Amino acid sequence: MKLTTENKQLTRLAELIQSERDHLFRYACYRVGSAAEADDVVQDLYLRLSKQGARLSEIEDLKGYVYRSLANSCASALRSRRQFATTETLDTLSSDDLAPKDFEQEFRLIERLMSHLPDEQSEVIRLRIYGGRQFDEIASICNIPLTTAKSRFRYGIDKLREALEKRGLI
Amino acid sequence: MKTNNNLDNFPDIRVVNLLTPHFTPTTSLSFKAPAPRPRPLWQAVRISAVAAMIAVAVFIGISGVQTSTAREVVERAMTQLLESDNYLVQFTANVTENKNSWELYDLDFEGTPMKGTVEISKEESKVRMAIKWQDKSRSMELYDGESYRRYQNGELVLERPHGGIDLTSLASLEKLKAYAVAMGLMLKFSEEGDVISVSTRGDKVGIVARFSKSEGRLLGAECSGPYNGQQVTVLTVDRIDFDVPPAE
Repeated sequence: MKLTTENKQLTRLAELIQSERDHLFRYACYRVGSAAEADDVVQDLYLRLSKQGARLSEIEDLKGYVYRSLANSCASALRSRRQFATTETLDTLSSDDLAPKDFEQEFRLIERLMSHLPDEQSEVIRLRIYGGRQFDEIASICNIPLTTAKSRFRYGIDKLREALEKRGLI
Repeated sequence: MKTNNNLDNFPDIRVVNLLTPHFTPTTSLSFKAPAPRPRPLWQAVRISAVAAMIAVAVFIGISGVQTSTAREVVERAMTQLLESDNYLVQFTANVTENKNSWELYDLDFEGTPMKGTVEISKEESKVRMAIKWQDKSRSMELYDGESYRRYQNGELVLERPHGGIDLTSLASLEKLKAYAVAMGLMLKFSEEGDVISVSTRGDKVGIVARFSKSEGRLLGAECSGPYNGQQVTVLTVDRIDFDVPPAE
């Protein structure tokens, strides 16, 4: 049977999301803090993008578009939450917290570390570490120069290092 | 002055290690493009109904069951199921009282099962929905296209303006179609006698919908989600009757 443009694009999308599934899921997990919710965010992302059908062919960098959309979906999911707002900061961090024993503890630690950074730095770090993206891909996703992507990562890590050193935690 | 020697980088590595995940959960999600084959009309209609139920599951998954009112979920499911001018849905939902908003109940994994009915009727551009809860106060919530009214023991206890139920998204046969196309291969069909069951999602937030083969219509559905290591049903559509004139 001959594939229509829409079928071809849906196949392209499905193959891309399937191949990136683990990275997308991990990014979402460490953004929303729940495996079930991360599943739903990724699933919903796929459904929403599927609706574009043949128009997907107009998107040149589909992978970048998918990650950008995922970041927006996670931010939107977090905004719509009416509870679970965290007030924890690095000031209450103890050395025990630095050795998490499960996903929940690990997520809380990472959230506290990320909350210490400006959004643009934490987003680059998330895409690099959880999304498994290369810096040139991050530059494309965030629409910034490659050097900026690298420096934001570096500045973010430096800032965390200084904060943790100041508190005697590393 | 910053240097690039190993000593200077050492703490960076430790920070990166702190940020590196070691306990990432796994996912069983699977994505496959829909098979390019034409669907008979009856099958498309059937799948559209299931797709609407999937929309409910996705909605619950995104919003979190604790933050979704029963009305929101039922409204969404029913909105998307609307292919008839009038119908009556009998459901059972696990609910707790909603103390923070004007809605009466929240869906809640730890809630108490409560039965209720939803009557939906369409009159030109207006859609009227009445939720009748089988609680002690015989509560009824009425959305008549212009206002929200709550009755208890037959007396009006709350009234406020309400824009009504927006059905424009249902114009969305397209929307349903997109769900059906996108989700087509993620549905599991099984057949037992006259009943065809369609299930989704395995151990995650899931929907099971049942159809009568001979009548070609949706009989009922369940919506569940993972809670405390178990799959807990929070909403059951016990029965749907189409073209039932609304009771006053």
